[in-house]
Amino acid sequence: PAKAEGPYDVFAGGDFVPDRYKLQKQVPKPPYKKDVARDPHYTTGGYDVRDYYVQAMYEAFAGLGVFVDDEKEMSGRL
Amino acid sequence: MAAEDARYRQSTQYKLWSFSPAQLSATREKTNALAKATISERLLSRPPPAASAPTSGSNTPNPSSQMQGAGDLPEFLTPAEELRLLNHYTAELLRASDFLQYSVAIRATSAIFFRRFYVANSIMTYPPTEMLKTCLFFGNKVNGVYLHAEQFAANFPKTTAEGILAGEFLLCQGLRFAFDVKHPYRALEAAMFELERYGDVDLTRLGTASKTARDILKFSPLMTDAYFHYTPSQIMLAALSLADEELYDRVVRETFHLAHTPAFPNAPPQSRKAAAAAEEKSRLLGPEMRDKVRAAIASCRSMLAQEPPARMTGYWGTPAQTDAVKPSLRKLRKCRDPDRFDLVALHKARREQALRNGDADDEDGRVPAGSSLDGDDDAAVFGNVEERDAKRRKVKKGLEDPFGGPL
Repeated sequence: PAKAEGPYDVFAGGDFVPDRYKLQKQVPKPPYKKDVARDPHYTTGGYDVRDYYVQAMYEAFAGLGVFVDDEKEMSGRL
Repeated sequence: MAAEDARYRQSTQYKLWSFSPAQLSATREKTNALAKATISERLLSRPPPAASAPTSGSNTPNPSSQMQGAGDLPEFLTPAEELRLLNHYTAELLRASDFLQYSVAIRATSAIFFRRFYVANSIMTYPPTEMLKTCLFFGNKVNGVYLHAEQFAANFPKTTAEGILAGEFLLCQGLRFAFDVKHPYRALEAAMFELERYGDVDLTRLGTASKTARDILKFSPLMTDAYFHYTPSQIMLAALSLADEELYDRVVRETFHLAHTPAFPNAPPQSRKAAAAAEEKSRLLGPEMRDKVRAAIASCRSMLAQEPPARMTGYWGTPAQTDAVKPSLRKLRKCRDPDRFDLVALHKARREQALRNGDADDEDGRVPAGSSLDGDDDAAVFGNVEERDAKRRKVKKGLEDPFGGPL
C-alpha cells in the first residue's frame, strides 16, 4: 500500500525485498549442471541465468515460516 | 512476517488447497458420505434392470450383481479404501507420465491435480482411470504444452479424444480453477546454489545429495498428502534432510543465523523505527523461528519417509499390490455412480440439455451462460428443468438486443 506521506516510492510500496535470503551479485554455479550462463546457445537469445536464480531462490525460501496446520486450524475454515 | 511468506500466502495453493490433517480427513469423509447418499438415492429411484447394466464390464460373472437394484444397495467404499485407490491411481499416473517422458513439472502438476480433484469428489462418482488421463492432458496445458487431443489419446489403449475432453471442464471445476501449482524442484536447485556459495562443501557430495533429493521429490510428496500440509520450501528441505542430513543442517543454520538478542546494550541509541526493524529481523531469523521451522520440516520428513522412491516399482503390477487393491476395485465396480461414471455420456447429456434450452428461444443456438454449469446442476442434466427454463424465458423477454434491432 502506498503511503500518503514520505519520499516518493518508485514501486508504490510493491517492492519485494526478501527477508531470509540475499541474492549474490554473481550467480553461483551448481556443480552438477552445465554452465548455461556462458553458453552462446542461451546468451545470444537473451536468456539470463540470473532470472532463473532469482526465481529459484524465492521458491526455496517462500513459505518457510508458513505453518499450514496451525494457521488453517486457527482460521477454522476450509 | 517475512515478505516471501506473505507472498506465498497470496497463492491459490495456500488459500484454497492447504489444510490441516484433521480438516483434510474430515473433508474426505464428508465427500465419501455425500457420494454414498447420492448414489443410493439414485440406485433406489431407477428401475432395476438398468442399474445392473454397468457391471457387465467385469469378466467374472457375479451372481450378487443380478440381485441388486431391487431395493438392496451395494456395499460402498470406505474413506480408507478410497485413499488406497487414490494412491494406487496416482502411481499409475506417474507411470504413464514416465512412459510418455513428460517433464517433472508436468508430471507433478498432473499428479497434484488428480489428488486435489478427489478431495471434494469421490472415486465412486467419477472414474479415476479416465480422470487420470484428463489430469495428464490438462497438466500439460497448464505448463504451456498444448498437445493434440487425438495424438495424446493414441498413447493409451481404448482411449478416445472425446473421453479425455469429456472430463476436462469437470476437472477444472473440481480444482476450483486453481491451476498454479508450486513445486519444490526449482527450490532444490536454489538450495544447491546456497550450499555452493558457502564455499567449503564438497561438490561431489553436493551432486549426490541433489540427485537423491530430487528422486525423493519426484515420488514421495506426490504419493502422500505433503502438498496439502506443507509449503514447497519445507517439502524441499525435508527431502534434502532425507538425502543428506548434514547439508540440510547447514542450510538451516546459515539461514537462521541471528541470535535472539534484541539489541546490543552498549550500542548507541537507535531511532525507534530502526530498533523495531532489528527486533523483527531477529524474530524472523532467530532460534525460536528456526526451531519451529525444524519441527515442521521434521514432520514433513516423516511423511515423505513413508513413501520412499524405492516403493515406486512396488506399486506397479506386483502381486502384493494387486491383491491389496483388488477387493476395493471389485467393490467399486458395484457401487459406482450409475449416471456419472460414464464421462462421455454425462458430457453429452449436459451439452444436449444446454442446446435444448438454447433452441427453445435462441436462434443462434448458443449455450446460455451458466445453464448447466452451476454447482447444483443435477436437475438440469437429469430432468426437471421446466421451472428454471420458464424463469429464464421470462427474464429473456425483457432483454433488448445490446446492439439494437435488425436493420
